[in-house]
Amino acid sequence: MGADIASFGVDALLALAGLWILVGIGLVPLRGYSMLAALGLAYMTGAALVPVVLIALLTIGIPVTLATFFIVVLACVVAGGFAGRNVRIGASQAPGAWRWLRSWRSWPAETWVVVAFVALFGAYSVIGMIGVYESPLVGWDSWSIWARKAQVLSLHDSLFGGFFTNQSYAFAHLDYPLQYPVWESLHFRAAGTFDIQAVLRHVWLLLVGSIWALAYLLRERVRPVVWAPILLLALTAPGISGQLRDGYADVPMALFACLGVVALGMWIDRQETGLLPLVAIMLAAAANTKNEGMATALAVLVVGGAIVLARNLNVKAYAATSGAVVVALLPWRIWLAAHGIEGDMPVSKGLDPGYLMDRIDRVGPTIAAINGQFADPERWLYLLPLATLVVVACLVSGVGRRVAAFYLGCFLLVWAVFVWSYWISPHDLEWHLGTSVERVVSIPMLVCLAALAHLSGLLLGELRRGPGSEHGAH
Amino acid sequence: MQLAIQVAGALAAGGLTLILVRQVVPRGRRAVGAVALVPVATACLVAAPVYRDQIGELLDQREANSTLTARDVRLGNGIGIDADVDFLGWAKGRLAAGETFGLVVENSEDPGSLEQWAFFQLAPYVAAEPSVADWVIFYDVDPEEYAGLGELDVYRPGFAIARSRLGR
Repeated sequence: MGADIASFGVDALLALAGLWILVGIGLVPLRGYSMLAALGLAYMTGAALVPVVLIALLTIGIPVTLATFFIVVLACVVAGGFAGRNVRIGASQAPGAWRWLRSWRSWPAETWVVVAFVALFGAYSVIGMIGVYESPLVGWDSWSIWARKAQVLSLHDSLFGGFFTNQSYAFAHLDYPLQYPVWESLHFRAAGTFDIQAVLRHVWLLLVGSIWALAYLLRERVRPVVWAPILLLALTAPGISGQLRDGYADVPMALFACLGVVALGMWIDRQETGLLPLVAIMLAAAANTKNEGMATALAVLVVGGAIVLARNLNVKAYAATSGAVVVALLPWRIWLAAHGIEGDMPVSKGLDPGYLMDRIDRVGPTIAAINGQFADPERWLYLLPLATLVVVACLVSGVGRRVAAFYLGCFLLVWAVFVWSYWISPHDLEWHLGTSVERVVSIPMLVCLAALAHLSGLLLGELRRGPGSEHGAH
Repeated sequence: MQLAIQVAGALAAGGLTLILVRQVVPRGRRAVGAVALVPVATACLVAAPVYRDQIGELLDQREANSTLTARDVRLGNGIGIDADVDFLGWAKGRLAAGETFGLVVENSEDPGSLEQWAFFQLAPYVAAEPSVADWVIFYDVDPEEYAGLGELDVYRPGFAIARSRLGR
């Protein structure tokens, strides 16, 4: 029991760190109910940022212990508090902020939509937690790669050479980044035991936190009647929640990427304060979770950069965001290079026309396999066809056109990068696809989710707009 | 093909919605906004049964978890690939803090998977090449073929552990 409380204490501290970072970047005001509403985003921000910092510390030889974790959390709180010191507390709003709860009889229909969402979301979250509370890790990579590394990180305060540079463990993909194992190891350390039956309960929080975070991010641009059913669809999609329960890193990586993509899509829409730092945090976390996350982060930044240049948005701020993501990637990459550890993907050959032509027969089956996953209605619940519809509607009508172009560009570039990765992979294609394609598609499907929720909101907003108004074209 | 049909279906639903909405909303961008009703309606229709099914699945998972023993949790993944988890546990008991082990596997159907599991079960002891490890663990292989070993401790024929002469 004590171990359980301690490991959930790690989650609470991650949420605390994230909350103050959000205050610092101006995304959350210093008001009780706003901070409560932002708890999901706060948890995801902490779960994204703190491990990125700890990875950097590990690579320069600073011991990572629970004390180090506390110091990083404290640093986030202090930095966030300092940066957000000028955020005004709404003195006139704060005392009456909860008064609306008492007037429930006069709530508008949309408030009831939110109430229904909170009830369904809350019930699902609790039942999900009960369901996974004592589930052991049975997904192969969940124990053989991720928990194994987390165990090493929880037993040693450093990047223990007996493991991380030991080729006997090459099967554990020593080049994979450490976001997920570092996050897991914090829970093991706090619990004081390596218990593979205690991981999924925290992984479940990542799903709950992400859906909650999406609702918070979208709330001002998208009406609840749009985001509530779409986010419930995402919450229950077996491709997301079922896969999450395997304990693999793919869904957590995709959740970080999805939050980064939504934040960037919203910034492209309105350039609000605080969104770009959030983009940097989330994409850095995705990039530090798996190599596919790195490819996705770079693809998203390229597409976003093209739109920033084309529409003459704030290039400096965007460049700083992109730079921050790249800088967050560097410590682990430099450490790998310094220790001569290479992955199994022949990236350097990936642009060699001769190499590519010799393997051209891999392209067709790869596209068929990836698209076959997209079309699986039982796993992905029509996310892609629905996203296609709203993207086409936005592009044709001009409603949120540049936002739609951004999501479309992200999806296509990520899709192309994944096809390319199977194309150049040294592994037997049938085996490689068979063991990974259903997980790899998580990222493009969550890009579809981001597009669907955001663009549907823009479209419905246009429908409700008064006649004659033509605002909103981008 | 299935994906193309689904996309075509979504676009057709959007087009139909647009035609209907244009009866009451003037032509132009406002009317196009109505296609958002398609994903909202689909989400409402699809999410309800999936929500119920997933709740059922999660409760089933809880039920299944309640029957797990400590051994299932600790060793279930190894048992699932037919690893001799009892032998590995026995061998682990012979290692001392800080010592390394090398694993020699020959006759297993899937030595790669077995190695991954064995290294997991034997953690926190660290694996090394058998030629430089403190201990050599023989898994379904005749140890007599290997030279340079200390006294052999046999669990059962083919399954044994020996201290490497190169080891400490």
